[in-house]
Amino acid sequence: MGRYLFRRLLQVPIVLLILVTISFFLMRAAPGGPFDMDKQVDADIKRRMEEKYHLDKHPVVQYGMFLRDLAPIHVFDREGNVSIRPGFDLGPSFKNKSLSVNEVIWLKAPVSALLGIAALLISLVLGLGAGVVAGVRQNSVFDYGSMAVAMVGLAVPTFVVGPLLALVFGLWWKLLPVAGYAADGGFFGGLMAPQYLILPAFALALPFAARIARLTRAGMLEVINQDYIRTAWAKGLREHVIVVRHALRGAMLPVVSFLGPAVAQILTGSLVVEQIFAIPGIGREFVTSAMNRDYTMVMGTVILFGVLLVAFNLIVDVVYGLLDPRIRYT
Amino acid sequence: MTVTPWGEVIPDKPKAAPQPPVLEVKDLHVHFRTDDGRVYAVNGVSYDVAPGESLAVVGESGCGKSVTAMSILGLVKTPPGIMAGGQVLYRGRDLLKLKPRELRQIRGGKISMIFQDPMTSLNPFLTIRRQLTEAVELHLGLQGDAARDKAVDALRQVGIPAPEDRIDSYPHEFSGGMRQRVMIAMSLVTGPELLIADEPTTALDVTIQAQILELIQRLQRERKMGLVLITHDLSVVAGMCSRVVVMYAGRVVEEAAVDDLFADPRHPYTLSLLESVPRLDEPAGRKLRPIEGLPPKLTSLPAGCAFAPRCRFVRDRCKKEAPKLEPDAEGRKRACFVPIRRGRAVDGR
Amino acid sequence: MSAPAETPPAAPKKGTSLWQDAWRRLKKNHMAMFGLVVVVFMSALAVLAPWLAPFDATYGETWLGAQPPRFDHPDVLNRNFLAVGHPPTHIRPGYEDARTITFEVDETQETEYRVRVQRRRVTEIRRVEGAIKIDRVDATSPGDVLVEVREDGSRGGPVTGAVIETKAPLPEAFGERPASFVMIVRHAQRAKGPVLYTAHLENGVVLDLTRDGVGIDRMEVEGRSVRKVDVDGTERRHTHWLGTDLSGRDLLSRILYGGRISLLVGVIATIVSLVIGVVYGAISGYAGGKVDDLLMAIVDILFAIPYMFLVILLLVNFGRDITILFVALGAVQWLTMARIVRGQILSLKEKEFVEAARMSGTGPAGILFRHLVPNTLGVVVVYTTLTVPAVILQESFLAFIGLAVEYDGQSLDSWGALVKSGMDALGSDGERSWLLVAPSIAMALTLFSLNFLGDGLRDALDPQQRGRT
Ligand SMILES: Nc1ncnc2c1ncn2[C@@H]1O[C@H](COP(=O)(O)OP(=O)(O)OP(=O)(O)O)[C@@H](O)[C@H]1O
Ligand SMILES: [Mg+2]
Repeated sequence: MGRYLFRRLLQVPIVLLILVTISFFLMRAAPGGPFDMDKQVDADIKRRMEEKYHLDKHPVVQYGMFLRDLAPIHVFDREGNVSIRPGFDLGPSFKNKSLSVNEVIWLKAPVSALLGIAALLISLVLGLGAGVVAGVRQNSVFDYGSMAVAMVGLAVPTFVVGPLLALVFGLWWKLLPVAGYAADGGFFGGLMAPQYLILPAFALALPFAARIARLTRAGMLEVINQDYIRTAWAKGLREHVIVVRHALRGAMLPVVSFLGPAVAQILTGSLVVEQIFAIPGIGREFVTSAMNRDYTMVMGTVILFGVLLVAFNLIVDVVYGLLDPRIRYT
Repeated sequence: MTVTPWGEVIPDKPKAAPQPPVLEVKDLHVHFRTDDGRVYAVNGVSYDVAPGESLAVVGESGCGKSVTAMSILGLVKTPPGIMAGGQVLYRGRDLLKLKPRELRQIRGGKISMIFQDPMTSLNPFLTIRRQLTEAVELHLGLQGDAARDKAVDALRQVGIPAPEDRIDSYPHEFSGGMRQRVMIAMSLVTGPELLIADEPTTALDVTIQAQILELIQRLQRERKMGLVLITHDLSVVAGMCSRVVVMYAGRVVEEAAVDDLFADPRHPYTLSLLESVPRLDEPAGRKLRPIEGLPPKLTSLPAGCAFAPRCRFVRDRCKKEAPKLEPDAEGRKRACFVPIRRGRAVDGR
Repeated sequence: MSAPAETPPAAPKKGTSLWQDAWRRLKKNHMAMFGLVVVVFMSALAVLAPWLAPFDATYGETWLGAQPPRFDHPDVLNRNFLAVGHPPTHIRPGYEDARTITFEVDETQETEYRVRVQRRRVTEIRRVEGAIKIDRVDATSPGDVLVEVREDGSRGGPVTGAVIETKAPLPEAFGERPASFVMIVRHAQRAKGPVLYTAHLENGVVLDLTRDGVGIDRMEVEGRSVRKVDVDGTERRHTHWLGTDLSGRDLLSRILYGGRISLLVGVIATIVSLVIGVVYGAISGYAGGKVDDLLMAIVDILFAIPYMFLVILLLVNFGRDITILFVALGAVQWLTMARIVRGQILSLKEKEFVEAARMSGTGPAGILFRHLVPNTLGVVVVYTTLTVPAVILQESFLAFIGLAVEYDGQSLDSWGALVKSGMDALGSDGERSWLLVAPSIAMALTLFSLNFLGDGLRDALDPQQRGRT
């Protein structure tokens, strides 16, 4: 486990570097730049802008400067004097000139985080709940019913579930708002006004709930036929004790390994969900910055997504190790 | 038990020990529904165990020993299992008719069970302590340290070295033999009246097998506990048990005191079974005779005796009619139409 | 020691190959068979879309607007124009060769009145044209509408079923008013029956043209006002079984063509991933050792990269041409395939037949691609069936966020794009739900079926599953 984790940790910087490098050069390799689209900018101003943001330099030089700013700690300032400042500087946003990329991320990431956490919780609760009951009561009405729903949930992607939920609950029944976000914004503002989050969180969660339900059910079926479950029955334990204490852990292992890829998919899913429900989160920011050629903003969001992803995969590995004592020492 | 001349004396045990049995299995029928049709796994098995008695159940693989044992504690999954008939009486109460709550008190509390494979019978995700104490908490009502002490005690009794330290380990940190000891500790920690051990040593190394069996025997004697020992190994039976039930294709074909059975099997199947394994009480060099043919398919049992196709004493009647388990002229219980003495049919051949 | 007579494992049935066996098992799996049927059906629809689609998927009769499913209407254009002595170019294609065309048209006639109100009573009504004084404007016949035309040119809400009469109060439908004022009211009135236009054509030129029997030399009718069109004696109508979108395009046709694009992207990108994945995985597995370690470490690292973001950046910066998309999506998908094939090759290369092939002088490439790779076909087929829906999903995802594929600079509306435009067109009460629901169902059903088929194939081909109930 330790050695394995160490290998995974070594992977992290490589993965992030590859991601950053590809994104960086993808953005710059295409013809045109961020200041081409504003028609009113005349050639002179455009040149000055490009100079200000170092866009006149060779891409490789720009890349070097970008990486330098990105370093966790800055030891030297631009003149080469020693001056220690915190790093992780993603630079100014090209389009949103009053804010730096870091500021935009601080503003919008909490909104997405709230949405993502809500979706993850919903999918875990629904998926584990339905999966366990379906597995324990195999071939029951509940089993068939929930698995049929899960089948549909699997095939219907977020960007279909989202509009359909909006149609039924927002437009037809008028129960919930179909767009927007809490007026005070941020993480806690969103928490205080959950009505804006219910539909998007469910839209994001349902495909995962379906996957988790199926994985849990399959895991449960496998586990409850194990000898040690028979042992537990023979001890005279009650069914819910057997399910919760003896069976659930083993049944959850496939779910835990699925959570790594699931988080990646929730991140991509947030791109569409935030667009569908007009939520001012980081996913929508990524899409608009990409379309606007806002280089620094794109890089910032890509790095954020990359870090989240590798971090979550590591967490999943650790959790897996904690759940399964057998792999602790291997 | 005394060796009696045939035809004279009925075995003295029932008279000498008039205690009512702890467990009585009566005409048990268990089937399974599968893709290939109904599997008739158990077809009218009856046996009983007196308090403190040790009963062996032997028979070829697939003859229904485990299914019968599991039925006792209601561990057969339905579906696919079907409890098609019969009774399992524990102190006169039919376990098959108990409410789940009542059955749970008996499971693990009054009747415990040990399974064949110690590698898979312990939960790999829980510490030994958790798995032991949950039984203690449930059946003895002890909590916390008291439960732990009880568990440590149980581990010590089954010969786990340094049980205080080992109790917080996970099953994978134990060897197979040690795990089976843990299983035994787990099933005995609640002080049951009856232990069902389903081939407790089959999955273990030969050297360890003897140790485990000795342990079970010692604990059984100490606690005056009833024991149902399910096994393939006839040599084990001779040393450990007083009575033997021989099963074939989901039926009991012979039931006898151990010494009687070894001295003079009265059913052709028992005879073949004894001939197929080496025996200590016979001169070396005797030719082993494996049983020819295959056990019958349990999906479609023959109308007559299930052993008839492999039986060397087979008669016409055997193919039409299934013999019942009945005492013969000397009171030996067997299910066969052909009277057999000392390996020969009494009426010639 | 056990009784010697053990039950031997059931002998494998002879004469059934792996594939026949799998097929037999697959046939028992109802959901997988359902999936297979739907997949075959959808593929047929996609391939045959140009012949099956009732309409052009890109051209819309804008005058139709969004209409609900099963809407039917006379088969005409937005504006239909005929002139004597000219070829009939501005009418429905296919009508040029007709000899007689008749249009039944609801024409409206608009008259403006000046209405004077004094002390809450109408005192005078005059036709604006000619200033003729009249007593009453009756708008009670069906289709009649009264509209106030304000001085700034804006209009009041339409008022129907009302009568304006001198000496009577102004109908309440005109709203709260001062006691005395003057207003202009426009009365739109449908002509008493439909007006009948008849055109005779010869040699592709309009010979003559009549309006209610009176000869005219040019005709211009709007599509929306046509009640009936007759070509050489047969009425021409069209039904939009799934309705139309905001620009009047037939939704069924759009879904058929959209499926063509979705499935095309799905299949081609999957083939790309298949080729890369199989070659990479096979080489890695066959080479083994250090090479294998390295190649698999690369796969591990690539796995950890959030690919979708890079694909988005690629499409944003380099255009959304369909070939770029094929490569981009194929490149995302090959990793799993590579892993699976490698695993298979690793276990296969120890088998006797490999040794036999080596003995007979086959080179490594020959062994790999002629003996080993064909033996991985089972898993490859399974995984391929599961990759197609994944790719369809990804393309639709991209289309949904506004990166619909293009070909020759023309955007191709796949199902994802249809779902997106359906969502945008729902209306404030969800009154145009069919625009979202229909493409959603098409896509979900296809993805659903492909997944089922894939799962079913896996169960059928996976030897571990054998004998389980
Ligand atoms: N869940 C089940 N489904 C179908 N058939 C079953 C099931 N459990 C047991 N059987 C069948 O019941 C018969 C008796 O099985 P059982 O396990 O009691 O045999 P056994 O005598 O214990 O054999 P062994 O010595 O190998 O343990 C077997 O033929 C088996 O195939
Ligand atoms: Mg058994």
